[in-house]
Amino acid sequence: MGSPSRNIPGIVGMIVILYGLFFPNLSSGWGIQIQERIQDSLAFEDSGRLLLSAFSYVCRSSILFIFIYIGSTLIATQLTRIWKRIRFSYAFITLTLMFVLSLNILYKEHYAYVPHFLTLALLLLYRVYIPTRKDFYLSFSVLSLFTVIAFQCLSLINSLTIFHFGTDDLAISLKITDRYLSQNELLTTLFLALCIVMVIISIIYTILMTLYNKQLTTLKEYQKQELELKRTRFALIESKVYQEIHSLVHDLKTPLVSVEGLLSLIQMKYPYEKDPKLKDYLNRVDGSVQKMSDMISEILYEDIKRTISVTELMDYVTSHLALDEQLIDMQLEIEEDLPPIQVNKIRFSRAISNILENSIVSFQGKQGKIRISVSSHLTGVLFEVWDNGSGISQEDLQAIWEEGFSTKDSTGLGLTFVKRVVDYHGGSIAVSSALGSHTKIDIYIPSQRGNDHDFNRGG
Amino acid sequence: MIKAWKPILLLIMLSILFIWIPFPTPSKLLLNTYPNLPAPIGKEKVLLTSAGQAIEGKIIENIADDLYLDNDFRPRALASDLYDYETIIMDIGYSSNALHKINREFEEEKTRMLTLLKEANATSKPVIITYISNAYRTDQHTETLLLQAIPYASYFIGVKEPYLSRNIKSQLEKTDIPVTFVEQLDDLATPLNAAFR
Repeated sequence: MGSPSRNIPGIVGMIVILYGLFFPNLSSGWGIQIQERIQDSLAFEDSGRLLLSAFSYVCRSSILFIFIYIGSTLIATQLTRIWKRIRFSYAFITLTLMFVLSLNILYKEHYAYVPHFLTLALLLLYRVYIPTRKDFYLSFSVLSLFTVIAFQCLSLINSLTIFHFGTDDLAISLKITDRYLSQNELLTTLFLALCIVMVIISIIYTILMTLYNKQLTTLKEYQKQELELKRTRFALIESKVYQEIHSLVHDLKTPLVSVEGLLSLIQMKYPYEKDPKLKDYLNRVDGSVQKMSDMISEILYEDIKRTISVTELMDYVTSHLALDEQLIDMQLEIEEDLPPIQVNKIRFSRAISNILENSIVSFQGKQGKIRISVSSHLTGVLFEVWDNGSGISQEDLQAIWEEGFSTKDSTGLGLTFVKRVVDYHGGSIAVSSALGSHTKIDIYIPSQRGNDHDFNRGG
Repeated sequence: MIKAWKPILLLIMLSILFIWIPFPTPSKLLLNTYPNLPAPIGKEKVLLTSAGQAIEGKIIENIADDLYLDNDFRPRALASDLYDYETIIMDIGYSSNALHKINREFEEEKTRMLTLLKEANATSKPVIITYISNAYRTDQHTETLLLQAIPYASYFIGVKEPYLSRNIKSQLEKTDIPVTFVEQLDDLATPLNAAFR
């Protein structure tokens, strides 16, 4: 049945319909007043009074049927949502005619059906052209009002009586009186004109709505294209920045090779047994230079992997996170006796950092919890990152892997990079999230070759 | 787009069906019609009443006034009111609103009508039935009132319409009373006048 807010049209529709069904009873005083005015017009042979009662009749019956039409529209919308196979039009027709029939049974007034067939046909014709947007109910109600008034006017046209227009008691009384007083000229002329005016107004309204909708659609299309352009521009800039950094890192290798060469020259020129301290310093410098060289290689070449313990990797990741000004409670749980993993340390830790940074940003400076859990899973290691931040909508979940997708006006390359890194390590990634509740990202990395574990990607 | 047109076409088909189906081919029963007016039937003073309380009774009153007939329009007259009158003109037409206004059920109205007609017959007072709304009030209630009133009638005046129930026509033929159908409401004055003078 859906959430309570989804049932609102149906509930409101039922209330409106109930009010419509009781309306003839509630407005019986009005009906009697019309009847008395008709009698007065006969007693005084006064067409003016007849005209007033005719307008009064059109108002009363239009109000009655507008309740039925709006109520039926709302209930039909609700039913169409529940029973997706049933189309709105058929549900709307059935409900409206059913309620008109109920009125006839309840009040024995003999309300005609033909005007309702035509009113429904005209409304459904308008519906082909008016958009189903947020203001659909308002537009459709306005159109219903004009169309119902138009066809209620036809109820007072004498020549249409044999075609089953205006067969209810008051309409007949009005028409017979008009026949006696003006040989049908008064009501026929006036109400035919009024009917034409109402139909023209409803047609113009539909045309305006259609044009407005077209304008709105074009505007949205432009906005979408503009956003797409913005994303592409960002992606281009980011890609250029990456290229620059890549060249810069590559250039770092040259001075490092010089340092390495000079170090071995110093080691050869100054025998270290004379100064054991110097030997230690030189070894440490050599070690650091080697480490730096490895790091540069890992940055430059994706396929460079090394065996590393999960604890060491997570220490490296968390040491780079800026959590000082945040109100975040971060918990790290690493299962004991985890096998070492073979990863490109720099890239893999960058991927994990990226996910954690996304989580931190989702709190927007507010209090929150991030839980990182690393455990053995099948023949590999499973990294689970959970946060109770703002979450991701179902719509956005389908698009998060797309290059350039971002909800924060950034380049949107983060998760694309994460996925590429995980894929390169033969692993898999899965995201599940509920808007306003939580987000959970699982990354699986095989600890040995030949694993073909796969998550249902993309959440 | 084609799917959206289907219900619209269905509604148009239904409209055409409803417009034509309820109208049977005109009956070939031959009835006495104007200008074959009968000899005078009623005498004054006249009681004008309505069976079903439709507004048409008021139109008959207007015509009677125009003819200077000595009459009283008493839509809710009872059998006990008859002593003061020589003739009854009863207009038939069911109006749900009018009955609702006087807080009366259809069955009560039917009983009132029959009691009045029986009393008129018992006291040998002529009854002129008028039915001027035949194409308008084609409901079951009006037809019931008509079918029950016609056997008590001395004269029947109606307005010519393309559609008149076969039952009503058969009933009129059975009773063998003078019947006049006029073209327009205005023409009603002629047979009504002829019935008295």
